[in-house]
Amino acid sequence: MKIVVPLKVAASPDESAKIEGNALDESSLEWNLNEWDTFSVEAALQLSEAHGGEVVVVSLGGDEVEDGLLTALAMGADRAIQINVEDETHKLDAISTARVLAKAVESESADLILCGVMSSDGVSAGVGTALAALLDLPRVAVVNHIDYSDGQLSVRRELEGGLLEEISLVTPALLTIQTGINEPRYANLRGIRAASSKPREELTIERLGLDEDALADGSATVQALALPPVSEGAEILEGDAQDVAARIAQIIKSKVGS
Amino acid sequence: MSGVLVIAEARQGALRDISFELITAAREISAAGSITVALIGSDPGLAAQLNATGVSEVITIASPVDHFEPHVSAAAVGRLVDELSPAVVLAGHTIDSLGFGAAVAAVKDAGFASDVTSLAWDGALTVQRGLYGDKFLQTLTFPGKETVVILVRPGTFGATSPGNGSANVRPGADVDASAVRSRHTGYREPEVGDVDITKADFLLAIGRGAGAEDESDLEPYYELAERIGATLVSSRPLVDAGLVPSARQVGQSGKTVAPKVYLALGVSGAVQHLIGMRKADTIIAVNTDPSAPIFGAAHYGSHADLSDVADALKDAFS
Repeated sequence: MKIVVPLKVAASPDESAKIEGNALDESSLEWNLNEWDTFSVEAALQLSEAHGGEVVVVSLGGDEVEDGLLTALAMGADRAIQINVEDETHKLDAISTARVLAKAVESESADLILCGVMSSDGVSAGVGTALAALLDLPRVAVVNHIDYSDGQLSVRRELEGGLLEEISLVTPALLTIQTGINEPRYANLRGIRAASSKPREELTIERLGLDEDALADGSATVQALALPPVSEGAEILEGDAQDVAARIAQIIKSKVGS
Repeated sequence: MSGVLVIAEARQGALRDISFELITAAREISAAGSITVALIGSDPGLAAQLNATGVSEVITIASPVDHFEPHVSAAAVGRLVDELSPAVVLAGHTIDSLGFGAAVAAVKDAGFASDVTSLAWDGALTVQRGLYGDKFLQTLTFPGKETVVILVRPGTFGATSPGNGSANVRPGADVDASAVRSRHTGYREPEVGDVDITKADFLLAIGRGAGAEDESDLEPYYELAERIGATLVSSRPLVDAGLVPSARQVGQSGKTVAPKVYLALGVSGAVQHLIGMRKADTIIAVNTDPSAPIFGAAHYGSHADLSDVADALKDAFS
């Protein structure tokens, strides 16, 4: 089976992060393979190990994308597609990202596409579901268990409150993968060495026949980025750990009674 | 383009709270036009409850299947968008809506924003949503979009009281059986653990910041909990890592708790966690990151090193 795994390399701002215009100062951002996507890569690798096949990872963005794809290749993915966003200021939203991914992967005719439920930075949780719709694939969102046999998928969807729903569907299909579904492997030294010689294809949005400027307008326009309003928030307990513990003990005793 | 279309949500025969929160949200942007509520694939008897103050019309849409099915919902919402041309479609930022909201937006070339925490209408829609774990707040508009699909964060708006409205309740066209592309085969109830954390008066919660890498790293926290008379619970990452049983998970995908005291050690306060514990009477948070969102929910906070505080606390209760 061929499994395509779209990945995001997600930004996390450090404590010095400053707002510049409608975005964060690039120098304060650290880039890592999105946490949810480590689980979708692992799920794809486990399925291909059990049933045979190929795992293709795909990502779009700026220079940061390469390291994320190499990480997935080092974990064991077979091939990567890197889609370069030419204009660094173009931060594509979930729907536009899905449009680019749809163009890039439609010719792959994947049996299964596995996306992370969401990204830790944008938290839209929209790319996978939009991608499925654009490719006209059946989908299940927020999956935490997969059984596969001969084109049949039996999956569990994780509902609120820990309730699980069991669902069956046939491939080709798209699933969005929840954290905790498996234990993502770390790339070992051999994997890391092998990664750099695995096939990597570089594309641009233009070469996919899409207009990057039009996509950048996307499904929403960012008017502002700000710090959230300061809530009344917590009374901060001062002093060293002893003082803090003494105050906490006092609060506990007065509220719970003992 | 006018009006607000609310997509109600039901599960196992009952409407979920988000349905009534969405009606409140729709009333906040009533300048966008009249409010229509759609109930898709559920018992039409539930429509009476959705006939709440401010709602003009409730449309019940029959589904070929008995359970939520994301492709049926997408087809039904897509058709309502064609029929009603609403300016805004409101659904929950819930597990069900994550299965169809973005699909409708992509196919209809609509505006889209999810996990939205505030809405305003001033001739056009403006919304706000959190980024980077709610450390920043983004303001979005949707120029040129005839319809905007918005997924609203649960618990953000108060729930409108059910019923008491004067809406016209009518059936909409059925969704054809060909829309169905997945099959519900059953539910699995959450694991029952050795402890019911919803009954405890005092919870000690540990999060990723506790730095636990295997189960033995948690022993000091279980000991601390026992010493101070608390029940140990955790946020999602430690459950995902298999270190804490899921019966002890607090949050959207775990349990919702309301103890007298909630002492959170190394919990950052992701929104999915806050949803499960913000009703605690007294929340105390210890986290070295002063910008951790948990401090927005807590009554008392400390930025001290949590293992030092844990040790000192153990002594204070000896």
